[in-house]
Order: sequence, then C-alpha cells, then structure tokens
Amino acid sequence: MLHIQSVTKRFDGLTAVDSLDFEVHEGDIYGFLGPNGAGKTTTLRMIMGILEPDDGEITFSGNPIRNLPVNIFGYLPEERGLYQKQKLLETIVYFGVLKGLNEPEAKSRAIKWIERFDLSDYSYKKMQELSKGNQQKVQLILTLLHEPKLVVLDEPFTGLDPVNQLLLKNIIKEKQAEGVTFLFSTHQMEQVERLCTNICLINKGRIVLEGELTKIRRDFRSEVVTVQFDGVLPKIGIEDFLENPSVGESTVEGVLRNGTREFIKWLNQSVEIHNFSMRPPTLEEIFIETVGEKS
Amino acid sequence: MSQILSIMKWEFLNRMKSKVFIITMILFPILIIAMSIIPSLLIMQDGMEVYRVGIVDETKSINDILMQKLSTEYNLENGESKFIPFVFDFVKDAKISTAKNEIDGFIVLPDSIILGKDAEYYATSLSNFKILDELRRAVNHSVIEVRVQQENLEIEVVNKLTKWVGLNTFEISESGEASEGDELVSFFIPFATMFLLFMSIFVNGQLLLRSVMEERTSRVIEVILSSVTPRQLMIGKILGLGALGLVQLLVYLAIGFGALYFRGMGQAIEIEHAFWMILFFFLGYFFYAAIFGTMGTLFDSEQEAQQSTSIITIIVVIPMMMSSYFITNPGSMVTKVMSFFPPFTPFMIPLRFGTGIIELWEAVLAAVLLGLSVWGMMILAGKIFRVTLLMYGKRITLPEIIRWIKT
Repeated sequence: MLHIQSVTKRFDGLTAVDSLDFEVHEGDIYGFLGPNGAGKTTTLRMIMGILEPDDGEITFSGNPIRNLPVNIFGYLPEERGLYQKQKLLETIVYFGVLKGLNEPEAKSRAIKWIERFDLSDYSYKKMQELSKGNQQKVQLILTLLHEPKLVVLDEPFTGLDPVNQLLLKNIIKEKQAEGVTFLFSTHQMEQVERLCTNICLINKGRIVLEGELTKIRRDFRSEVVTVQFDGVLPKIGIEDFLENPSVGESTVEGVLRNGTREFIKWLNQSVEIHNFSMRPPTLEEIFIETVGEKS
Repeated sequence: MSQILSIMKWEFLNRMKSKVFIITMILFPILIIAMSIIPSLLIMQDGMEVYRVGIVDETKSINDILMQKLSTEYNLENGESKFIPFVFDFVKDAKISTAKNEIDGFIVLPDSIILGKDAEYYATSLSNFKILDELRRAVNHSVIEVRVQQENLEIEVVNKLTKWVGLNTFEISESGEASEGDELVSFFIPFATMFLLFMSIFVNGQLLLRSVMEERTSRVIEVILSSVTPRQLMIGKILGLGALGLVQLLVYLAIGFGALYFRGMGQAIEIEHAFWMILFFFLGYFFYAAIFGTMGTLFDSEQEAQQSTSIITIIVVIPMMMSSYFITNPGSMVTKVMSFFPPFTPFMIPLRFGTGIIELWEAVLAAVLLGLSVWGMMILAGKIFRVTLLMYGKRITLPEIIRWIKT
C-alpha cells in the first residue's frame, strides 16, 4: 500500500536518509523507530510530500504520492504548533477546509471530535488558553478530521497523560478496524509492543531491522537471562558471559553471549542460584543493543 | 485553487475581525491629517505671548520710529501690543538683560545702517520664524523711513510708489480649467498620496512577514504543508493580505477625499488618480511582498526580522525624504529617472500624479517595468522559501541563498 522505494535525502552533503526501503500494508499499525537524528522525521516529511526525496520514490496504492489528493493523508508532526491567538473550533474548521472538506461538514465533524476529546468547554476559547496536552488533542483532531486513509503520527504519545494515551490507543485501534493505515514513530517502545504488528528500526538513515515484530523478537540472536542468587558475585569475569550486565544485590541480568551451560558453571563457583530464567529480549533491549552496536 | 481561497479568506478575516486593526486603520489617516494641519494652523495663528525686545541704536535716529512701529503695528489676539520695546545704550547691557531673561532678544542697528549695512539680532531662541519676519519688516520699514526723511521726500509718496504686489496662485488641471490653487493642498496631496502608498504597502508587507514567521516558529507550518504546497500557501497569504491592504487604502482614500471635500477643496479630487494609486499599490505590494514573505522564512525571531526590515525601510525612505524636492521639481530629470527605479516606482509615480506633471506613457512604462520586476522577484522568492520554510533555528547565510537561487 505505502511503498518507500530506495528513498534518499541529502542536506548540504549530509545524507539524512540513505536508500530506505520498506512497505506498509493496508490496515497496518506500523512502528517507525530509531534514535534521535536517525532520519525518522525527514522520512515522514517525505511521505507527506513536504520534502522531495533526492532519489527513489514513494507510492501509495501504486501511485506516486505527489499525484494524490491531500485528503488521503493525515499528519501529526513531531514539532507541533497551533495558531495561539485563534479560537479552537475555527482553527479545526480551517484545517478541515484546507484538507478539502466543505465548511459545514468540517464544523459538524469538528464538534463531534471536540466532544470525544472532552474539549467542548474550550470550543470558543483561544488556543493559548489550552494546556499543552489539550493542544495536542486538538492536533490529533486536525490529523483525523478529514478521515484520511493513511495516518502518519510523529511521536503521538509524548505529552499525553496515561488516560489520554489510552484514548489515543483506542482511537487508533478503532480506526484500524475501519481500514485506516497507521505509521507512527515513537521512542516509547512499550507502546509499539502493544500496538504494532510490523516495525522498522532505522539508524543514521539506514534500516537496521525491519519486519514483523514477533518474528524480530524471536529471531534476535541472543536471549535475556535473569539470575537470582545468594552470595557474592565476582566483579571480574561476568562480562565474558553477559553483554551489558546489570548487577544488583542478589540479581544479575543481561544478554547471554554464549551457552547457558558455561555461565551456570561459572556462577556455581561463587554463588548459590535460586532462579535462572530466560526470555526473548524486549523491543527496547533490541533497540539499545542494535543502535548501540552500529554506532 | 479552493485552498488558496481558503488561505486568503483566513488571513483576511482574521485581521479584519480584530478591533485593534479596524481602530488603527481609521484613526491613522485622521491622525496624519491632524498632524499635517494643526502645526501649520498653530504657526499661522498669533500666539498669546508678549515679546520683549531690546533696541541698541548706534545711529540714535531710528529707535523712536522702530519703537513706535513695534508697539503699535503688531498686536496679539486680545488687541494688546505684541512687542514691548526697551532701549539700551550699549550692546553689553542688552546682553546681560537677555541673559537675565529680562528681555527675549535685542536688535542692534549699526552706525552705517542708513548706508546699507545689515542690522543684527540676538536672542535666546531664534526658532520662531514668524517673530523674526515681523522684526525684519519693522526694522526695514523704520530704516527706509529715516532714509526717506534724510532725502527730504514724503513718506506717503514713497509708500504709494513702492506698494507691495501680491501673487495670487491658480492651478490648471489637465482639462485646461483653472482653479484657485492652494499651495498647502498642492503640496499636501502628492505627499499624502506617497505616504498612503508607503503605509499600505509596508504595513501589509510587515504583516505578511510576521504571519509567515509565526507559522514557522509555532510549527503550524508542518500541518499546513501536509495540506497545501509552499506556493499555494504563499499565494494565499499574499493575496489575503493584499486584499486587506486594498481595504485600508480605500478607507484612507475615502477619508482623504472626505476631508478635502469638507474643507471645500473638492475640485482637487481626481478620480483617475485613485485608479493609478490602486494599480501601483498592487504592483508595489507584490514587489515588497516577495521580499517580506521570503524574509519571514529566513528569521526565527521578531528581533532579527526587525533588523533586516529596517534595511529595506531605509531604502524606501529615500523617496520619502526627497519628496519635497520631487514635489517642487516634478518635471526634473532626477524626479523622472528615480520614478522608474522599481523599488521607488510604487511611491513616486502616484506622487507625480499628485503633482499633475506626468505623461500617460510614463505611468504605463513604469507599471510595465515594475510588473516585470514583480515577476522576477516572485521567481527568486519562490526558489528561496521552498527551501527555507521548514528550516528552523539555523542561521541562513548569503552563499546558501545564492546557491538555492542558482538551482
């Protein structure tokens, strides 16, 4: 559906996005991850047609995005702002009209969304009177008002309290059921694990990991080991067995380097093991390890 | 297209809805008219203040006549004498008196004044040119009277022979009709024409700059650019604020024409000038909109933007500062040549219409030249702002701008 094909973008000799390739399928909730400065926002801006790629092409259902009407897309930028001196309802209607809605339609939809986000008291207030979180809700309304087919959300959860994070998650799932496709970037890995089926992790403009989330976790070569013990663990030697070990009073956790057998043997020399458990790594651990390794 | 219209409407209505905007729009020309008329009325009016003037007469033959003239011929509104003369024997005494503020100033009549030497006047302030004029007249009349006496002539005969002839002024319009001219009006109209254009172009140009800058600094621009292209955004903004400027200009013209009509100078109004003013408003506004709109994409703070717009303002103030020369020399080569320089054209051609000294072909040629410059400026602006709209917090250098223009 949304197909990013060997897209490259350079700024003043610096390659921000380097021959990026991935595809988002219809009805997907696709997580787009990467450390700061990895090229996420640049990629999302290119998808929205705000920036032109230097090389490669972005298509939606086979059509180049620049040929498509603007109302197909909804975009919540990371750097978000609103007209501070304008009234809430007027602003929403204006953006709806820019996305091709007629004014009465935009207004009736705006009122419904304002109610849903519990902002009715502010309809005729100036934007500057709203809290940051409430302004972000207005941004979300602007993104969804014209019922886009593809919604691009750049860090949608930051700035929302847990109640509103849940509200957003519910809206995303509800819209997904209606066939809307979501592509969002975030640093909050637990949100990705709860929402996304597919992810793409980029670093320095290149793809590091891409595909189905469960498969990525399963295929990740190492597993995370947690050991509970009694006794004193030697300070030296543990790093031969674990990557990035975090050692506590009576626990130690880390990514296993080699076999379990040798590690248990080494542990038994100095401590008494109470519990030894292994699990696939979390997305956060995969993120930290992959990105840390490459940089 | 409908998106351009929506942006236009948004920019236009948001400002028209503001009470501050409407109040300043109406108050502004009223203030200008008041400012230009009140001082001249005040100066022409005789003050209520008595002026104490010392006389040091080295000839000892003039002071009687001068004292008499000063104390009888110049009166305040209440009928009292305006000048109170004091006679001094020596300059140094008069100086001390002036320093002590016992007198406001003193006249020195040197020995050879009858033979043609100039008189001198010393005072703590020389700024009231009306007082100086009156003193000059009184001294002259007194000296002439003494000279006439010495030649044994009759002063009445001399006065009759040298009676001053006035010069009444008439202005001939293009249709050949002569009307009683008013120097104030024939100076005021070209100047006001230029000033109104300056205001309506600059106020709206600055609004455009601020509007673009606000959308960038508040990051609203990101959402807007996911709906419209940079070109559509700029066209919508420029047209919306241009419409606003047109409303302003029409209000100014209505108030200006109303004021002229009210003062019984309705004959000074020529409707076709309004047409040229509106045409040059649009051309000039588009020319400066390309500059201001682009500047709005280059700066992140009001302060930086202010500094760089002041450079443009200085350039545009040049024709404003030279306006009295243009008005008094409307047919000079300097006036003609400068009026074809595109940054000056929108202010100077309407000014020249105000003076009445302009050929139709000149106005048409100037409009075409300015139109071509607008086209060029818009292309340049387009090349720059499509790059800079989304650049935040990065100082943009001149070489970068030149590179974007070249690509």
